[in-house]
Amino acid sequence: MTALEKGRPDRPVLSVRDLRVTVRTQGQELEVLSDVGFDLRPRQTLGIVGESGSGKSMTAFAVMGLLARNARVTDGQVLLGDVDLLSLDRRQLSDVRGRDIGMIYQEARRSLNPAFTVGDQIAEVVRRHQGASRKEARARVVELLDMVRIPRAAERMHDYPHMFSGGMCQRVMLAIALACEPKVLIADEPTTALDVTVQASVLSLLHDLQDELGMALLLITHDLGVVADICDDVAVMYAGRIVERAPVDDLFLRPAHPYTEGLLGAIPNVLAPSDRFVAIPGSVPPLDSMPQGCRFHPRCPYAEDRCTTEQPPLIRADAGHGSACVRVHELELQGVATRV
Amino acid sequence: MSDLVEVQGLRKAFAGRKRFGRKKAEPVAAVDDVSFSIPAGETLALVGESGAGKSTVGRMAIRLIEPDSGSVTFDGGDVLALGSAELRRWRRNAQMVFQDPFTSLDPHLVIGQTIEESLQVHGVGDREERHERMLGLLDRVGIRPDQADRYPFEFSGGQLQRIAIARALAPEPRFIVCDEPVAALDMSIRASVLNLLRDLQEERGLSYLFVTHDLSLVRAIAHRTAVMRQGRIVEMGPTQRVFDSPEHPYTRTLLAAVPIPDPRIQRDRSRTVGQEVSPAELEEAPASTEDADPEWTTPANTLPVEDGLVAGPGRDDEVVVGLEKRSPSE
Repeated sequence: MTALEKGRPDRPVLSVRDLRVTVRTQGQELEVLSDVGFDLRPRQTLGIVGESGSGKSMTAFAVMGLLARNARVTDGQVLLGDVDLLSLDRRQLSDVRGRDIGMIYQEARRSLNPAFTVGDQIAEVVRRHQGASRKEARARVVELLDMVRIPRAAERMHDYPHMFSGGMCQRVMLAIALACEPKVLIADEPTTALDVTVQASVLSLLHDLQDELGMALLLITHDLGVVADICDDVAVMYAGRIVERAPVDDLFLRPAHPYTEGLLGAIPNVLAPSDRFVAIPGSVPPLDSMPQGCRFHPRCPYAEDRCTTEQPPLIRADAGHGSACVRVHELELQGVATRV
Repeated sequence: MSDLVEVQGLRKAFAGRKRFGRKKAEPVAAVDDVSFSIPAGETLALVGESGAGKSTVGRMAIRLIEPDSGSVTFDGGDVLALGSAELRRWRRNAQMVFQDPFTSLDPHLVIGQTIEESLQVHGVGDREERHERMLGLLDRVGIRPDQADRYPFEFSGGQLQRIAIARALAPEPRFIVCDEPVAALDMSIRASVLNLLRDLQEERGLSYLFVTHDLSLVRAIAHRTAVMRQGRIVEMGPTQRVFDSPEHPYTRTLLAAVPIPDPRIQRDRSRTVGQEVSPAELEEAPASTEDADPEWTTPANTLPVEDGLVAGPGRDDEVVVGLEKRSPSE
């Protein structure tokens, strides 16, 4: 029985609402996430894209309850089913992490403990969350390594992380994250450190496993090519806010926020030779000097006076498509046009 | 146009990691018989995955690393024959822009000093003249001259890379090796740095060796492209040719693996790539260099040399395709 048949498919497994996070630094309390909200349904892949400092990783950490000590959630909810993760204590949270929500990070090798075999590290999760015996855990480890397509699983479980390549380490991480068949997998730049050919195989594995296990995937990335590859829906973040949210085709073909248009214009495409790169002028504003109104307005070619004062919530542009631009209904923005 | 930089048969082996129980560390061939040339005013992109040896080649081309064998010719002169004083003088001609501007600029010097130092080392002008030139260079790369007395930490990554470019430009070189110059930058910033590099090339007739793992950039910046794998160039030719009709299976694999930022196209492509990549192959593929990710292998040595293509420099067992005699650049 698949997850689709099991539950009501439309009910989100993870629902983030109006999330606000502040960071205390040098005596100031700076807001790093403002009104971040999204739903994640079973089997859905939601991509969160943004540049450095946009808050995309911070969002993942806030969901997992892994914020740094100087950061705190000041408002909002993170609902896993009916449970608000923000209301759980440390012990309860650690039951959820690894069991209901799995997470993988950019540098897989650094996330693994160099002093233990990969088998031990996978077994630890199974024993912690499912109370398996050593023997049961060992059998499960072999199953999991097989599942992430690591050849000769029964032998390789006795190897240490340094004996695996970067892509293989990411597979081990994936085995750990998926050991308890979580409802949600959060992947924070899972392929950024990998070579393109290895990236292709890891993305394809992620895609297959999602089909097999029916989990929802929250994919955090700066790479719009990766988004186009495996996401169903996309949220674009800029300076701590979601500025656009849309089904993947809509976002690429009919962007509704000037920042998204800018990004799509700035990324090179191997299939579409261009003579010039279109740059977005300026750079992401630092946290302590966020512009008033729309945070993108100083870099926006379409900015008007009201953009300097008004910051709208996501305005509906189309079915399932929202944009935080006050001019969303006036602008005709350019999407990708790959000539093949 | 004549070739400004010509590299022939470069080889470099590094001492490998000493394995437990062995007396000696085996040398690892990082670069194995690499040859290319770059005409004045043109860009050659050197692409490949990590461990392919592309950065080592970039450094050998300006003698930051001494090759074990081979030759480097600049404007007809033998670079490898230069003595240390001559080499220092020659370096005016050939500069480098590194990947990470946060670490490649001296954090203790204000940026103006960094650039003036470059001028001073190469004996350009007197103090006042150097100051004037420094201000002009900053202005040219889009940094306000009144920011010359700021420290690197006061700038963003994109600005720092512009400053690093200004430093490279200072002694008025004719050749710049750009080693992943935008890899550390955010996507909205990359475009403007790449455009700057292109504009400078047009203005000053610079030649670039552009080292990158990101194939999607190459198309818009490089006249010619060389694809490296495991220390060797497996395919080289005019960029458009290499991209539109790649000859070597590895080039094809590499191109197929680059995700296209267009979901309509990417969805179909990626599933085929995924299927080609069998995990057994991934794991078993031998790598020639110590740090190469041994995850990918291609059926090498299977490709016939086609009509109109000249088998590249090298032995019979190498497959070097797409090495076409260059016609005058269009």
